[in-house]
Amino acid sequence: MESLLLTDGGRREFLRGLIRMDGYEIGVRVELPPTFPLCLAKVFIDSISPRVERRPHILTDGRLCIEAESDLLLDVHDPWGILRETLVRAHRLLHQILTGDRAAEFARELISYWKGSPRGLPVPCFVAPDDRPRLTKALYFEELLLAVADDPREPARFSPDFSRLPPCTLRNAIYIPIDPLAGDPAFHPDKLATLSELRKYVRALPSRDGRVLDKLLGRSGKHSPLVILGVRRPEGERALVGIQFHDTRGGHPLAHEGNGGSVEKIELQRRDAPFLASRGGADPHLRGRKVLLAGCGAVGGYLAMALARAGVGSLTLVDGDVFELANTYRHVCGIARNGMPKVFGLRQEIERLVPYITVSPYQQRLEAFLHERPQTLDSHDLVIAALGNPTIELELNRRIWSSHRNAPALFCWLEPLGLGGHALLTHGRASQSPARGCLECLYDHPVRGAALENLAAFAKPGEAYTRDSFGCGGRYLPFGDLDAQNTAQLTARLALRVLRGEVEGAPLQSWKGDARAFLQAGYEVTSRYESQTGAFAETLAYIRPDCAVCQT
Amino acid sequence: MANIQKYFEQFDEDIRLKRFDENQMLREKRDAIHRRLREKFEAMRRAGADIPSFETFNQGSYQMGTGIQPAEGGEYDIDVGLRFNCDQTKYSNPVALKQVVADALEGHTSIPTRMRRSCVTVYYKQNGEQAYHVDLAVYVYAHANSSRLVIAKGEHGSGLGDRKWEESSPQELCDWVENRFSNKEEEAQFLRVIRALKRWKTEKFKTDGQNAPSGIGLTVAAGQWFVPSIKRPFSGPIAFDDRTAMRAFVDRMVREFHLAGHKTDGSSLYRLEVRVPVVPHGDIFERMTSGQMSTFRDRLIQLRDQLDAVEHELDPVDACTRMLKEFGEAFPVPDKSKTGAVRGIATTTSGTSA
Repeated sequence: MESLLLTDGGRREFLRGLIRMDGYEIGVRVELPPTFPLCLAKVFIDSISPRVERRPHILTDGRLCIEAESDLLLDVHDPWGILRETLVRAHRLLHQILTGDRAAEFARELISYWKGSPRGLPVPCFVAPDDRPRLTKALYFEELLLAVADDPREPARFSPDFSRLPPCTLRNAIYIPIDPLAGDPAFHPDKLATLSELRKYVRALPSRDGRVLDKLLGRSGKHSPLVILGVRRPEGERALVGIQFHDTRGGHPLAHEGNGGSVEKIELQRRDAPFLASRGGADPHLRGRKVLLAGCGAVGGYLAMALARAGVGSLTLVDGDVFELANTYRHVCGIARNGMPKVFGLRQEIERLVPYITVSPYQQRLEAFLHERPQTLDSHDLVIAALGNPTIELELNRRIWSSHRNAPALFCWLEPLGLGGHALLTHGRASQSPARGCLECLYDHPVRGAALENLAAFAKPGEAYTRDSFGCGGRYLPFGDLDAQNTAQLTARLALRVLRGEVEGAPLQSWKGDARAFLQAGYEVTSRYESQTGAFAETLAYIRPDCAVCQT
Repeated sequence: MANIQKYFEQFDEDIRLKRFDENQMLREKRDAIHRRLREKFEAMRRAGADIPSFETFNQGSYQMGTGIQPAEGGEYDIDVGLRFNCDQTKYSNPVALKQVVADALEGHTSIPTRMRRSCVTVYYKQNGEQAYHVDLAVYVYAHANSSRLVIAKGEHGSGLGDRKWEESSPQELCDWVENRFSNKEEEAQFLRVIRALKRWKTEKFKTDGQNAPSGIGLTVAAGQWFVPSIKRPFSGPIAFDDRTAMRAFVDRMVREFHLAGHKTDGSSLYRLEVRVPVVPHGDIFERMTSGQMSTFRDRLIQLRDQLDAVEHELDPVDACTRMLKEFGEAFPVPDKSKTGAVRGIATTTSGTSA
């Protein structure tokens, strides 16, 4: 490579030269961005001789898409090494561009070439791609394409914003799965935007799909019809792009060779639940799962949000309380919903942040809720109690165990001053019947006639750990936001395992925090807390063979 | 309830006596008697008397671990077995052999040795007052070539029927008691409850001691019916509940009494039978009259009711005060100021939030 170090106004240094490879002569320019060596050098292709049409991985300004830098660790103490290796990578990529399967590369990178929506913004797309042609729906406000959706209600499920739109018209659009690589070694994204080329790909559909498509084309609107292409990538999954036909003559342009029309590329932004969930680390399979959450306080709030973010599709929230300023520093809603009932405020916050979730709020105490809806424990996949009220939780535990049909239940609670927190699963499925072990096992009288104690406790039982803020009803247990988050996280992880059917038995989990603040306040810890130096393992040891609830 | 277990254990610490092997004073007394007998018998043999050789062995509450300190004004009571190497045909009159023992020990202490129905008793003084005594039970073999023992029963003036060699298995009985519970926590609670009940009967029959059930009677009954009350929570230390265990045992005894007749005033008489688990398998309470038995039953019922009342006391001070009424002054009652706030039984603090 011939090279020459140049400066561009004294700010940007670059190398320029020629690379000869594979029978081509390539004019290359290397720039060092101002942040170099915190990033790779930029490599631009100024010319290729002889001329190569349709070159993948080279952007319109000539920049070579070398590699996603997020995957790379750069040794900033070796800038020469970074530069040298950038060129090696560029060399390798150029070789691939010039000699490799360009069609496959174009199919792989289809979306990045499908720019050009003159309206600028990609169109929200709620279509889940599959392998058969079918009708889908397009939402228009006058002539403005607002969204594409298999189910026109889906956009509103995605975000309440869609339900606040002005009245839209719904038109049929057609989803067509195509496999351009199957019959065209010279595939290029631009071909999809050419009516004659597009027809070739469509005609290549299996005959059964072709017949289905013929019928669909008849049902599609004639006015500016819209087609969603599910383009098969080399790895097998499909990328979605849209084509809007304009100035159509004689019917749908894809229906008949004689029909005509112009083509507009529509850039789609996938918002369908399976895509977003997988892309965002959520589990698309949880969308069908229904969770009842009793208690929307600090732990419950984070828990609800964690379950929503994990992809759970339906949450029933039960809590009689109203947000107060006291909740500010340890609730997922912060100060945002002050004065609102917690269930409604939390629903708003969840819907604001997470799509595809149905939140059903009930502003009442759990006892009353269960009294009014006795079947509710049977109609959810999981019941979670984050009440901070063991009396009611023990009652819920008894009710859960009153019928084999009832859902598994998770109880979670935390301890004062950052000592720790716990989550206990009960009534989970074992091979035959619910696995033994329940909240009642955990509460016992140390000696007959003595007060009940929680055997998992870290804070010595029998002490009053609550503090007083301004008299009656103002007592609260001191703990911080991170304690609530830790407990919620522990519980949420267990909840997800339950929803995925990954838990057998009735494990108790505990996290152990720092006791300094607790001890400084003059309190004592239990031997359970003291005996464990590291993290607590999941345990079944708490299960009592004489438990009156789960062993009968 | 206030949890009184720690006071129960403190009480036991105060009343319990160590076993023979741990108690130097006991060992010394036993060994001194052994030495004295050997020397005396040796002298008698030199003078032509035909006295079989013998061994001593430990028996009774010290050996079983059920020994307690005597209550105020009471006496230590040490049980030692003397096993002579002959069979019962050598002494057709068992009182004769007991007399040989009594004579040999005469003058061993400043208080005269006494022959009693089942033993020969040597009394000791401490600080100028009679303080404890050693009961020596005299045994020979039932037959030549047999390991089974018979005990000498009878005293001077006993009728012919009361002077007899009676089958007895003192070591087997000790073994039976010692092996009731192989688990050391269960055994510890078993022995604590027996010791407490022995102190209870001393207290309750303070004025009519002759009517009291024997300590060994309570021990054998406990061996039959005691059920430990121990919790092993998945976290934290083992939780003993001696009160509950004792309450259940006392209740069991009460329910084992059967109607045995009526007094002249029409009130019912009851008996409790507890079979000794070793030869001769007799009723351990056979020598108690039905009237004594009925009194025993009444007092057991009172104890059971008190133990129930203790269960429902919120304040450990009140609970221990009730215990003190049954078990005497040795039962500790905490200082009101040290027990802190009275905690509820049914309403307590949860210490949790969410």
